[in-house]
Amino acid sequence: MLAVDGLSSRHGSITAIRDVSLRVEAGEVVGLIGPNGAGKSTLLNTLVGLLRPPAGRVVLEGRDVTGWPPDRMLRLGVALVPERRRLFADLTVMENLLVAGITATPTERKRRLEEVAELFPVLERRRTVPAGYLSGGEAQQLAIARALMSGPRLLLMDEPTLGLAPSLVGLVFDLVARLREEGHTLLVVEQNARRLLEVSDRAYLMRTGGIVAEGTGRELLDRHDLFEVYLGVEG
Amino acid sequence: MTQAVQNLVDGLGQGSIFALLALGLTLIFGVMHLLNFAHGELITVSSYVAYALASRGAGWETLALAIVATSVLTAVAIEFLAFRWVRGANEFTMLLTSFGVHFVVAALFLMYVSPRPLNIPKPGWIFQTVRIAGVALEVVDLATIAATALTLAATSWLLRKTLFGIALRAAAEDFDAARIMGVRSNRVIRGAFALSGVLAGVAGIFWLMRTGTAAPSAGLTPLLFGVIAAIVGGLGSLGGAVLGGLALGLTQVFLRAWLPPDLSGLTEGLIFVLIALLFILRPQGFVTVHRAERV
Repeated sequence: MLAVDGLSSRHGSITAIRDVSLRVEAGEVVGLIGPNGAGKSTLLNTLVGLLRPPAGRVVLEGRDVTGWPPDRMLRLGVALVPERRRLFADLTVMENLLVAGITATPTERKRRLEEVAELFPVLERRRTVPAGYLSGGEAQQLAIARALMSGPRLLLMDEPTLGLAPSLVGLVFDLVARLREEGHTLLVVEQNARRLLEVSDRAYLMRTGGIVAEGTGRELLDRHDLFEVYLGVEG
Repeated sequence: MTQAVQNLVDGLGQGSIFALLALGLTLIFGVMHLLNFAHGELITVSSYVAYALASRGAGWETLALAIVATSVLTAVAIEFLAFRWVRGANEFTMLLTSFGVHFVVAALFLMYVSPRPLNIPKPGWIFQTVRIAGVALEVVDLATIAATALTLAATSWLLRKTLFGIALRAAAEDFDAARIMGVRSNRVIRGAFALSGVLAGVAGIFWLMRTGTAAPSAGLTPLLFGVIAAIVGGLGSLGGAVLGGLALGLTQVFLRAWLPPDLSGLTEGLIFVLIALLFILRPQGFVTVHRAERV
């Protein structure tokens, strides 16, 4: 579905990536792990078109979409749950969802609002509250709900459990598993490598701007050497 | 007491014009981080269109419509011709571009129309007053306040109830996040300029009605007060901009009324002293604005 070849990108002071190649097939959950500053967010921001890559290619379902702007990528079905969520704090929960459904037709938008309400009952109860007043868990659910409003075929998630209480981390991973069962394709970035690998079909390990290992989630979980060297945790 | 009510209405009338301009400036600052010093050109260009129509015998009903239409078209044209090319550049570059637009527009009218101010006949009712509960109030102030209230209500409705308005507010809060959600940069920025054009158009109607002048720098004074009002309001807060405009108008009128006649020339100077005091006590302006960083 998504093929990235020799992609490089940088912008200002954020980590640069060099010569990154990866694949995401339809229906897969692909994990992207690595220490802080490995370039994971830079990669996702480049894939959705927030950053323009000076080199390399991004091919989505056979079409070269390198350097396309975010609104066009979204219309092609690529949505991002951005790092630190970036909710519109002054807008209500409902308004956040409406903006996120701007590419949909009114009928689709209405249907997706119903779907999202069913998936995240807590948001339905908080619909008139400004997003800035939500708790961490509610905010993360809204961030994911927002990405679903466009009806994406490829969902990119940047650190969906960042800043969440341990009890809520499980909720996000359950959701990832559920979205996968519903046939969504996901590319997920996480600090929480072990949990992510458990729900990933395949995964890539990034370090200092490049990919240093790849394999199935299971394979990477068993590579105790990688965990020690790159993630600094005991295997 | 009577005098105080008169001053209040007078100040709100003046302040309404500044509020509308400040609101437009704030909308544009929100989506582009541009402090648009070319915003006064909307009034300048409109003043010449009003002059041309008035000299062909058009009444103020026609002029009013023409001023708003001209203001919107000018706003959209300036965005397309000038600001689109520096979008994403640093704020200083954009600021200088807006100065450039101001000087180019002023020079064009100076060279090709007339260096002298031209007279737009004021409407007949401009000097009339109405008596409400024994207080004589100027019709033009009441008309300005009423038109501004209507315009603000319509703007508020647009920003809260339409998808375009919600997207505009989202983009003003975090432009890149809005783009990830599918909001089109060109469309939302053009929309912000068009809306700022409507607001400046309504302000322009009453400004030109009061001054009755078309000139190469007709928009400069209202622009400066609009910019001050926007900054005082917290630069980025829509409510703050309106508040800033009204406060500025009221301060101007009350200072003029209270100062001894031979010191009234110091009104503008004193306003700046008060603004300096405000920023020492509240550096963020009336309303605190939180902004997202851009990638």
